[in-house]
Amino acid sequence: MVHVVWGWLTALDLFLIGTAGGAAITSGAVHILGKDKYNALAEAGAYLAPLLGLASLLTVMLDLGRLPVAPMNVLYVINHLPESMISLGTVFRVAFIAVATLNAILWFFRKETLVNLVVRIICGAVNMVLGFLVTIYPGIMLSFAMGKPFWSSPVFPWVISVSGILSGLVLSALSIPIIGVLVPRLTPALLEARRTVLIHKIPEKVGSCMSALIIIELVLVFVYLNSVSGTVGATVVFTNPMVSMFFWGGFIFLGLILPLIIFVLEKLRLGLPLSVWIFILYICFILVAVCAVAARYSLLVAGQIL
Amino acid sequence: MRKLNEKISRRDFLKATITGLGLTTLLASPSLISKAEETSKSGLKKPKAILIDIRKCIGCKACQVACKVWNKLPAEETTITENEYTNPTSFSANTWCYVKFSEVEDESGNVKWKMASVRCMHCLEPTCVSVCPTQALKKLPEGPVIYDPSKCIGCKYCVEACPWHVPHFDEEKKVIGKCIFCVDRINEGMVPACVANCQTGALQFGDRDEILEKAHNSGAPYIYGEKEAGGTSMIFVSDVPFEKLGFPSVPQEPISTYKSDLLKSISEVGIAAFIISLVGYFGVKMLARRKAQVKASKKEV
Repeated sequence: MVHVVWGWLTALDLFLIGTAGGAAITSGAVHILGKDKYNALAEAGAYLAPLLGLASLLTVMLDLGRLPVAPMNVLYVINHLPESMISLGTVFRVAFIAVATLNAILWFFRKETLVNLVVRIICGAVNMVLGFLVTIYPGIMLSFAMGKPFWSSPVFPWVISVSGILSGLVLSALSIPIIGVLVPRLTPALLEARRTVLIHKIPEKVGSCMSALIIIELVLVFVYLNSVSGTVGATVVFTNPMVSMFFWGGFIFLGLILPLIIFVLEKLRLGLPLSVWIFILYICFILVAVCAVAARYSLLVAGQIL
Repeated sequence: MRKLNEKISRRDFLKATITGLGLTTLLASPSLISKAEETSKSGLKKPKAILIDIRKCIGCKACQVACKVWNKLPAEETTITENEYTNPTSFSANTWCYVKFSEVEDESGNVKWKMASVRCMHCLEPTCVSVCPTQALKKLPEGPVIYDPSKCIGCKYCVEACPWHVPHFDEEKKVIGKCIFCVDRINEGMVPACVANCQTGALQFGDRDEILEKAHNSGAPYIYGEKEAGGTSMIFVSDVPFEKLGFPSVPQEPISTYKSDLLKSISEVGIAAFIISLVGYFGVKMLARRKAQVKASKKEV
């Protein structure tokens, strides 16, 4: 029996909020733990996080319908705060968007002073924690849905979370040239990255991190599918043509395996010219991001078919 | 039209204040609280239940019709699936009760029809209530799980969370719909509409303790609803296993235990994955360093 009430819009919402969290984690991790030469990535992630967070809120409102009252509904959830994961998630989202916006403002108007740097680091760290919470809460929310055994696995939230971090990372890297081209004078770090060889170093570094995350994600997906092997949803993933196409063809092959193979092949010295290699890397990033939507859609639909 | 710089008179100020206070009082008044919730406060705290004896059900669908009539639910276009008479085949926002027909083969190979009148299970610890972000769904002490459509934001989380797939989303009204255990009738001392219209006594209404006692004394080998999801207000008795009747196998623990166990497992998986990733990362680093050392020593040689 097909009983799909959460479709494309919900999948898009889960993707946007997960990616926003991933961008915040990328920005914070690069800024706090990374080297200064990757600051352009930290900056791009800082700008991307609140934009995607806001876009996810808009998607939720579109999904809920009754647009004139939808914003009030969000306020109602925050005011009453029952024990539901959706309420908790709404609080996480709103707090995340607020802190991510503040973080972006701090980046935009940054000064090379110690106070400014410390404030940015603290804000980035809080943003990272909130970013992690918004990447993992949709998975926990789904796994608490007792009526859908396909999602009720302790591995499922991690599949969703790692996917969010992965797409946040690649979209942050992708947005560097986009922001650089569209708003060339936006910030010195992005401008500097565009001018120098760093513009090539950053995608390569992101490529390495992406490959590591892809391996983790593949392992998690394998463990997850084993943990829910007896459920209808798992059967649907293998037998339903549309779900199989999105899951195996989109998410697993195009979104994970193909970018990983390309990266490994290059590391084994394919010897591609730098510009070609960077172009291919960006294609990989696009694949990873687009297929993360397919992942969420297929997992959502598979779980709802009874 | 009043000019912006014009002063507000005392009378105008009082008028505005009284109007504001009146509106606030009106908005917060109990008239907006759902009628069912209000009436439930009048007493009758003992949990109620319905005994559904599948052996006695003849599939007349009187319960199905009575539910539609009492709750003023509109008729819907339905389909009859091949080889069975279940019609409609599932719940909807406007179908809160229906009769489920199952063809069951006994040990001697004879095929028999088994009919079960199904509706919301009104769990003792309802999953739908625990996931509702706006407290639109509520569990009353008497047993019913009711909802306030004005509070429903249409998130559909209850639809996904219910193990029996009872709440359904009304695409037109953008709110959910489900059985409310005829809470209005119960609070007036009447039995639910479906029970009142049952012709064979397959449906019986009473205190949950008494209903459970009846179920155990009924001689039926199979009981469903006593422990499922921590216990429900619908107690089914049958002479054939419930799996054969298409009843889902639901964990016996209450939803709170289920959630805390799952959350514990989620954090364990996270810690394990983190440790494995760290080990993997440093392993790869060490291998790379070792490789570089070997390469350097080879160069030296």
